[in-house]
Amino acid sequence: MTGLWFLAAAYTAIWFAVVLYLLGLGRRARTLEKEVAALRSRAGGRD
Amino acid sequence: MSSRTDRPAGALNPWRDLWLPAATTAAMVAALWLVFVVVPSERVQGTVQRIFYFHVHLAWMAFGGFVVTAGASVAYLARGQRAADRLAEASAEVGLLYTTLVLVTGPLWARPIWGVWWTWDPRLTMTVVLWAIYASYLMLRRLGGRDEVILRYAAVLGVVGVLDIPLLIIAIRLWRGVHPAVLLAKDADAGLANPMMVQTLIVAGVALALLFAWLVVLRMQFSALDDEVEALSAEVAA
Repeated sequence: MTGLWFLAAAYTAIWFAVVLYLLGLGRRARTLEKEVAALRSRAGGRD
Repeated sequence: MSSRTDRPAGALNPWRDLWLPAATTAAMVAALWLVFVVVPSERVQGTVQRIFYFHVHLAWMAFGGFVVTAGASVAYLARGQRAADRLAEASAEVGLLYTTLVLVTGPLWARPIWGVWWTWDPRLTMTVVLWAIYASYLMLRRLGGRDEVILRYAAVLGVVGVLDIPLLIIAIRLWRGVHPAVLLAKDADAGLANPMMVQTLIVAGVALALLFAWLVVLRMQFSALDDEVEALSAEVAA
């Protein structure tokens, strides 16, 4: 394995982890936003 | 616990959703262009030394994140502010992500230079300890849920954990490990002798700091949404 291989592996790992974290946060935030919208409509419906 | 506001936590925020990600992307593109296209290879280590430009800043930003966690935890313990607790958690989580990347990129740099993937060098060992402390902090929070006592225990851990950082920094001088301690070599052709290397290091630092800030802000938004769900659920159940 050459230095270039290690270099590519390091930067790929960085971007893979960051993108994975961002996607995970986005997915969880969307779920919570839906939950908020559903709860708001339930709370509003009782007013 | 946050109260409901007129502006939902998930509402569009130009600073969080436009300016910060745009600045992060621009800085990151510039940093990667410098690392892969512009900066010359270091004379002794060759191409693989380019891992350094991100590896070093990942470590320093993680340290900064844990210091923020400690400061915010002190604020939470003193005043019980939920916003401070959110900041502490977000900063610890992103700090842990950066520390994980330090522990991944380190061996990828060490293998061609030291000939081994890993060695129990003092600085490397202290980095694993730091990672374990903040992983424990986050696990404690997950297991404790919204229990106020657990949150306060976690805050104490968030403060105590930061004491590992000065130890980690002076570990090389105290115990003489193999991890390099200095950036600038006396040899004119080795180390960061070329001014472009220093400029690349600065741009990479700015890019990783912006990314850190953006991720923390996004993570805090997630916590705010979670609080909103909790508050609304209580309201609906009442």
